[in-house]
Amino acid sequence: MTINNDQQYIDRVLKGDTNAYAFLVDSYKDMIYSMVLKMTNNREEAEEISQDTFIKGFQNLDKFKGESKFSTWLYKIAYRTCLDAIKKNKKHNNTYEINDITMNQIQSVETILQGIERQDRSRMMKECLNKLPSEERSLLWLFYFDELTLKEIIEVTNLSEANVKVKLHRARKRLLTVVKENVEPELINHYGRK
Amino acid sequence: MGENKHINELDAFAKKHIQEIEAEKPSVDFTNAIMKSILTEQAIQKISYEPLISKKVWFVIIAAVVSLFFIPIKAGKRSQEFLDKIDLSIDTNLEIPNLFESLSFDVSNSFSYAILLCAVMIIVQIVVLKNYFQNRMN
Repeated sequence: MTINNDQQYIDRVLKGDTNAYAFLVDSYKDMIYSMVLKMTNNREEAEEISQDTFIKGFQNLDKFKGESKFSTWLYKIAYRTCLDAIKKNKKHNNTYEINDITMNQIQSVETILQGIERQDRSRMMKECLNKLPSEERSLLWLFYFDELTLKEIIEVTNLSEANVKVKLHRARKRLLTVVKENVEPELINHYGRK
Repeated sequence: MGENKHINELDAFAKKHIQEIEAEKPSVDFTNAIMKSILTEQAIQKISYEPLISKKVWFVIIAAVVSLFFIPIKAGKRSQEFLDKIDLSIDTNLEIPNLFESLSFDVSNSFSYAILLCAVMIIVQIVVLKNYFQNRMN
């Protein structure tokens, strides 16, 4: 959906056509839900927080001045709501130690991944991503899946540019560590079959 | 240079594999649930309770009471003369017969307790019924 289109629907909602908001919800529900799910790692909670995000969005729609994309503005609300929920629940992820990464390691993991069928690879990557701490998981998701720019991520998370870059780098390294540990059994199987 | 290449490789790795992950979808009635919740909230906000006596009416009442007090004082003597002309002896002249003179009530204790209990029950019922109808309307 284009920014102009978004603005048209926003204007309609602000003029009293509440049902026009359903178009905005339909357009962004998958994006918001996916990001929230990456942060919470719990479907029910993600659904609840996503709904809460859209309701808060509706209630504060008059405060949206169009300085950023509507999606970025929604992400910001979702991110804050998630942080509050995480604080309340105080769930802890099992964090993996980040090991030093070498070029060879990246290439060997890549080779193994290429040997796995796309669907299985996608499922495995999803599982690996879920093993990361929620903040790293959501940053990777926003940057690579939703393709938000650094500037947009800074706006959503309220972190400094340097901080976002450091956290992203750490997240990438941790992801590779997790994937490596998960593909190692595959690697043994792979060579065992040969 | 080597470090940069390493970062780029890691970046390409993450990009390629994260983009392969399928997007998650919320439940089918996700949008409906949100719209229902928004519309319900709007409907609640629209019901605003207005006081039985509006501010305008209160203003008129206060103005009337104040004028009742002040107009006779301002009118001074003339009002006094006017009041003197009115014959207010009607209450003293009037003889109201006592209709209950011949009746004598001899009420037992248990009868008065029963009446009291009935009164309490009626009062309780009023509160209960009021809440019941209010809940139904909500």
